[in-house]
Amino acid sequence: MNFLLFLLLCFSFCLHAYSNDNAYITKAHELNLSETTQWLKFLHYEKDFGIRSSEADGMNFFITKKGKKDPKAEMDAEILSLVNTKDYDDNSVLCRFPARSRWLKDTLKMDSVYFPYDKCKGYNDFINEHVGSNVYVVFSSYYLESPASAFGHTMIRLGKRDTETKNNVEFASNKQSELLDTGIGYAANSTTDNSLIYTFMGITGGFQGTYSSIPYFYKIREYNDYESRDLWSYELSLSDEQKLKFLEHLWELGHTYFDYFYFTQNCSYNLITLLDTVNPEWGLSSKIPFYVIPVDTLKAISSVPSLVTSVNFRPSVKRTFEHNFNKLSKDEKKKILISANDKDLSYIKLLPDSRKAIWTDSLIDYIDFKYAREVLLEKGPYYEWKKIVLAERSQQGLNKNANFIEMPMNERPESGHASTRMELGAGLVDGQQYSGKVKLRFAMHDLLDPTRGQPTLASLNFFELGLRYNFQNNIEHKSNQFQFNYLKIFEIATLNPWTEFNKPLSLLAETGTKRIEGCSDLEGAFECQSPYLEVGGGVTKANSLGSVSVFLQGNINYSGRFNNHITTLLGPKFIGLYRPCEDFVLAIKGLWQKEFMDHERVYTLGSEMRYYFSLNFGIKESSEYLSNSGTGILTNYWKHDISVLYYF
Amino acid sequence: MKKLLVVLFAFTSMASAFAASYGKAGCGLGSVVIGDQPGFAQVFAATTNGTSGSQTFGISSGTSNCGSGGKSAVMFIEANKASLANDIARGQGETLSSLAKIYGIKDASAMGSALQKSQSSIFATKDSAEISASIESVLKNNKLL
Repeated sequence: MNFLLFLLLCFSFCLHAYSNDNAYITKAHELNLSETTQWLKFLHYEKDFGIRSSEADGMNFFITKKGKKDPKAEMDAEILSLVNTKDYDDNSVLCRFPARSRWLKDTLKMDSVYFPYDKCKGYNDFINEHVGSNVYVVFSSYYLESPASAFGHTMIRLGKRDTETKNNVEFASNKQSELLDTGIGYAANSTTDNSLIYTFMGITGGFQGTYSSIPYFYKIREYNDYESRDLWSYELSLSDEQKLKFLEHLWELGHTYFDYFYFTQNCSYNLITLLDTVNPEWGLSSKIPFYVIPVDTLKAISSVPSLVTSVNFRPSVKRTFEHNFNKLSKDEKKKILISANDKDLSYIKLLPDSRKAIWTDSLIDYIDFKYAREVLLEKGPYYEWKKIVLAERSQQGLNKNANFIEMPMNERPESGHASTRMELGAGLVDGQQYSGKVKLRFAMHDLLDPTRGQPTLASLNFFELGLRYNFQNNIEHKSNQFQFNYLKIFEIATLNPWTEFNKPLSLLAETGTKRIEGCSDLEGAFECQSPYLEVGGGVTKANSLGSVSVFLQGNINYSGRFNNHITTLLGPKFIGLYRPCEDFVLAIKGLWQKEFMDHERVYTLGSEMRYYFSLNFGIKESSEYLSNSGTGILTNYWKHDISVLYYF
Repeated sequence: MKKLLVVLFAFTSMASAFAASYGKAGCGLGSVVIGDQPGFAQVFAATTNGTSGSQTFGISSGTSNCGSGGKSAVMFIEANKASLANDIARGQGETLSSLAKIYGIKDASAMGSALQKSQSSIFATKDSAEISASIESVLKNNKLL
């Protein structure tokens, strides 16, 4: 009898449980819950050519195999699994997917008996470590020494604010616990050392992108110190619930991977989709272009009203050094350089006691910035000498002039011009050939673009295409009116100004293909194209009004029309920039080159002026005289252009 | 067609030139391996080389290895050695006050001046464990720990 009763009880219980499953699923179906934006964001579904699929590529991100493409099947499987789990461990659905489970619980009013979060050990370790942390989007500024990071980099910082020490004035710093924060990054995991394969795989999605969590001090040491890049932190105003949701969803993402695409699904894109899950109403992913560069993440979060509560600026070692160095007297400055050069500290004895610590601190910063590699690797003459400097410094007490570097507001990266540029204009070649021109540049900044929020005296461009339509052709060339003028694939220029303490090299490089002027299109559009590579090195002097640079530049051009097919040219180049105010810029350029094998000589002299009506809208006028004695078809001619620039 | 190939070649060789530093770069930052290869130089090397197989060093182990591990004194000293040496020589600074937090020392300025006096003996070695031990002994002698 007892047995029967037990069976009955069991049966009714099971029946109850079973009907409950159905009830939740039925309810979810009634509400069409699997089509809500929140669910689709949780699973990172996106439509590609009309087919919906999750961007997550690790199949462990789904409970059912169908989940990759079917949000409804995934939701049904999740509900079933949640109510049927008996033993919980880190691999349970609840423990692997805490954020979406919690959302289902709240939305479907599911019984909390199915949600024993305390049984998920790994999840709890992670949450306890970070619960209550503020969330910051961090931008590591432009690093032109490495083209792949020249666009900057974005990551997340999780930081707890300790109110007890926050107001500790003894260290005159309001960010003293930043070193103990956690950095969350999304990055591609390389599987090859071959740079060619690397590039190909990086662009085509051949690598897996994963999230990782490391102490933030690694990021500071790498970016701030070793690479001398400023770090900008944008604090997000999140409610406690949103903070938890952020952490829980990060936990879900941390166990899977996404195929990494350098231009489209990169760190910046993935951080955006992570944040969008926290609150789909922000609609961040709709605010970014198809090609995402890191600064677009900042622009997207800054465009949501009151999402960013504060911006924090962390200067690089270079900026810290320059800031303190500029406060020294002329003699003190000079002696920093001489002492470092001679590895001689005798100057300290000549200083009054009140200046000793200040001067030695600048010297230490100088060594850190100038010999970053020796300091990092803990070997080399300057690493050894620094030990002596530090021992000396430890005898000098405190430097009471605690330095605080204010945020350079005009450098805020999100305040810069948009990176895609469209140019519409008219041109005149050789006084007789008029043409209409369209130019489109994908990214991101050239020497004459508005400087606000951009790296100064630097240029970095990817994919600029120039097309033109000729209104009046030469009589002998009556062929195509429409011409493919040039394609600039990649261009970089860093004009590193010489300073009292640093004599860096300025560099430029450019590759692409351009039209040979005067070439007849009868032979086909590509026959008139000459692929080229230009590389130059030189020196720059600059002040607040502009800069002057002198380079030695080598060019390699290819064309079937040339006598030797390949021409190699070498010669000096001059670039002068004059920028009296933010809205106007004038550039003067000159180049003289000689062919190696041939007797060809080329020289160009040109000017360009731009005026900006607003950050993203301006006009430009340029004139250029080109003289080519040798294999060129058209030997001496003027080129004039006038056009409108629009950044979007 | 020949011209097209040249263009293509120019592009790929250029692209590969900048891909060489892709690992260290922006979005391509590799995962940092902690535990197996302690030390900032090694960690940095691992970062720049874009270490593979970082699946096992993702968020999950990141919490146990980096989170708590990062806050242990030796680990912290290892990664922040250069900056800590500066701060101790100066008797103050962010790295020093962060270390004070790790040790649970409230009076960071007392800690700063105590360590400043012993700067050269603390940094007579490169070994983080030894540096950590001598820092602790200075702090104990000054009744700060």
